[in-house]
Amino acid sequence: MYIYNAIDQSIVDARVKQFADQTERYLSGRISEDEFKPLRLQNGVYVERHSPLLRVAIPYGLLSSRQLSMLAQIGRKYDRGFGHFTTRQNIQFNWVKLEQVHEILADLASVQMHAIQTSGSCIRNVTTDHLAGVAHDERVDPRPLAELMRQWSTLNPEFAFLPRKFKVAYNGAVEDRAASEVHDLAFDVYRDEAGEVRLTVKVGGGQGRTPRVAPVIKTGLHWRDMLSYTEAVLRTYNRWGRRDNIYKARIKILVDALGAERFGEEVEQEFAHVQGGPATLAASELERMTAFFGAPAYHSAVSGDQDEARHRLADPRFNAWVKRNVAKHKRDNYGAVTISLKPLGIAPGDATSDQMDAIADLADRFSFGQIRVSHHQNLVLADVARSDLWALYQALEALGLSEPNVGLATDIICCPGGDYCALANAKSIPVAAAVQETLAAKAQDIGTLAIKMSGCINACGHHHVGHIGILGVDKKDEEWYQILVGGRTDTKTALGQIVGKAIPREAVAPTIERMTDFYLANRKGGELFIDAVERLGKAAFHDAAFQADPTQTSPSPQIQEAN
Amino acid sequence: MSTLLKLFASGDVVTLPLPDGAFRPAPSPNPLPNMDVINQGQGDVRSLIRPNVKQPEAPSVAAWEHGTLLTLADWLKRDAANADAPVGIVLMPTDDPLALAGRLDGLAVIAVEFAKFSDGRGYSIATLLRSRLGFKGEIRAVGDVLIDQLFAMARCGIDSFALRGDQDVEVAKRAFETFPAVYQWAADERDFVLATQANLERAAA
Repeated sequence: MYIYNAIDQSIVDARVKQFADQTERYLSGRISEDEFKPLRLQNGVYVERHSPLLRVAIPYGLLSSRQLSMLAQIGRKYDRGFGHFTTRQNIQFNWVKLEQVHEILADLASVQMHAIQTSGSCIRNVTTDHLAGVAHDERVDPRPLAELMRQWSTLNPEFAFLPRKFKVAYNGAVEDRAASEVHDLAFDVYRDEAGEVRLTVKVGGGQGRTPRVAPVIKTGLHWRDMLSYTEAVLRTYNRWGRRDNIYKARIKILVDALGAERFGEEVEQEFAHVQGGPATLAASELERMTAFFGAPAYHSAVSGDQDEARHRLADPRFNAWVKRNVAKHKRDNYGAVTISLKPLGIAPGDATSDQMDAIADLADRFSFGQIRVSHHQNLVLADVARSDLWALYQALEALGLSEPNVGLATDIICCPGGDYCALANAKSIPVAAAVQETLAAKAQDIGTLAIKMSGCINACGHHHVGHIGILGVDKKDEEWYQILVGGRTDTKTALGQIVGKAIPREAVAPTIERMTDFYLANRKGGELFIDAVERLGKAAFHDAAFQADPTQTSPSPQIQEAN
Repeated sequence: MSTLLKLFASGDVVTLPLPDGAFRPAPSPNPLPNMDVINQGQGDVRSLIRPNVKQPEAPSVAAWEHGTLLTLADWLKRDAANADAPVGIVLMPTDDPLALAGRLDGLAVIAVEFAKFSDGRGYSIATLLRSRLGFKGEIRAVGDVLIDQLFAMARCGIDSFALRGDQDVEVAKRAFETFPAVYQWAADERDFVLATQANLERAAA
């Protein structure tokens, strides 16, 4: 992974000092509330329903065991003994005190971490595939480019006050595990016939109020021009993006208004001025950065491979865990293990400090001391020898972290919702819990099914791209829920469609269960839920979900017609 | 009275007094934050979000030390050969700085309006004035010119700062040294960390 040099460290240290000073001036009345707000946001501090919250950057989701241990310690010292991993590969501490934040930042800086630009109208933490570097279907490891983007965007002076937040994601594989096409700026990384690394650039994706799949505006961009081109995109957005209405300020609205082609031309004009300019990366830079992300010292031949098969036959739960939680690795004798943070009874993405410490130890023992955070809010040990799977599984089981549900209906992506978030229309966590409980017994049978839940239209829980999405809405101060079906972000990106009218909280789990029952009754062979939706149509799932329920308080149009 | 900070290439900062009309006056004093309230959260804030922000119609300052500041439109209408005294203009966030291509002669100062400190268009405007048009005169930040934005403003090529009336001059002077190093190129042409072609060439030269 990337290791700070003295200059990187000096910048992060200066940031801590700066924020301590800003906090002091705010507390003594020398900075107003309104003027302090963007300063704290650009250091990841929100003030939520019951407490301030600190969001810590985990660049492209990669952590060392030492860093994870520090996060555990911070959870213990400044929070209530836990942290929450987010859909942007970051971690949030939900119960911090504002006047202590600079101390937390100093602790983070001691392990080469920070909270720079994890919120605010600026370039946010860069994300990518949680299997980068180990994925069997990878074209190019995107992390060296993501790190270059991290450095370039860190404290970038021209783009510190954009019209709205700006999220950048990289995908370097056949399957897009980073949901890149629902980001403001997405790079698809590949090698051309000459072996040169190039990028396809997509702009204006996003979820929230106006969900959009990002259109391509540039193909064949050479990696050395990556920062110059990004500068051109951002300058165009900074100058012409709307600032009169925060709901229309994201770049997707500008791209929509101009059309992707016209927006691309505008960027191209700006790019013509800056191409070959001072942001052009040196030819040696990719190689230098790639060296930080080299393969660990893999064992070439591993004995005891047969143990895995023997234990899988003997222990059905271990078998399910290997099937669901161990992803194919580019080396046959290794696997990438996902530690599900979605056992029943736990808010999705939460981990206690003790669990974080234990996982850090397991990373040291089994996976070269590194951990990744996935945007599904799980943790990943990406380099586990298959001969160690049984030992790792047993260790995880002892910690209550061996839930074999990765990619299943119970592996729900979920925002903090109305329990924490000051913007939420409705609670998320209890709804996710009810769905998990209802579907737990059938989840293995149902197989791959991405359920994604957001407590409001801002879509932190990615409901637009869930195979089934759940959206919390407010109707006359009551919490209601809208169901979506048909979204996806894998080999292709599609936005889900709302089916039926909003339903009350207690109806959510039964409604979803009727959809999964319909799938189980009608699937063909090994067809996945999402493929069945595409074959049978969303209307069929709507009917299954809503017509079968005579107690439905909010009747669907079809039922009204029947009346 | 407020203060104008002038930043020189050497890094030296000089302060000059500014007359009324050449800076944004201090707003009313801030109430002390109530930490009990903040650390207990702010509840449901949806009703507090005001989505529509009115665009500024007029610049926040009308003058500089040597007279009034012209608007971009007024300057473009003027016969360039006519200018005998140094001229200052003010660019609003919606103005296109590239309209000044070929019309920089005779301009002593270009003020860039930061109507709200959170409106970042001024950073791109200053960057374009320096790096695209090669403007060598003074670029002045006016409006909401606050301590915590000075570092970024200077990086974008702004070299004078009409501090808002309430800003602490001594703290402001130190703001230019907030970070000991920077990662990326910006219009101030300061040395930066990223290994770009330009950086390697500079190192080799």
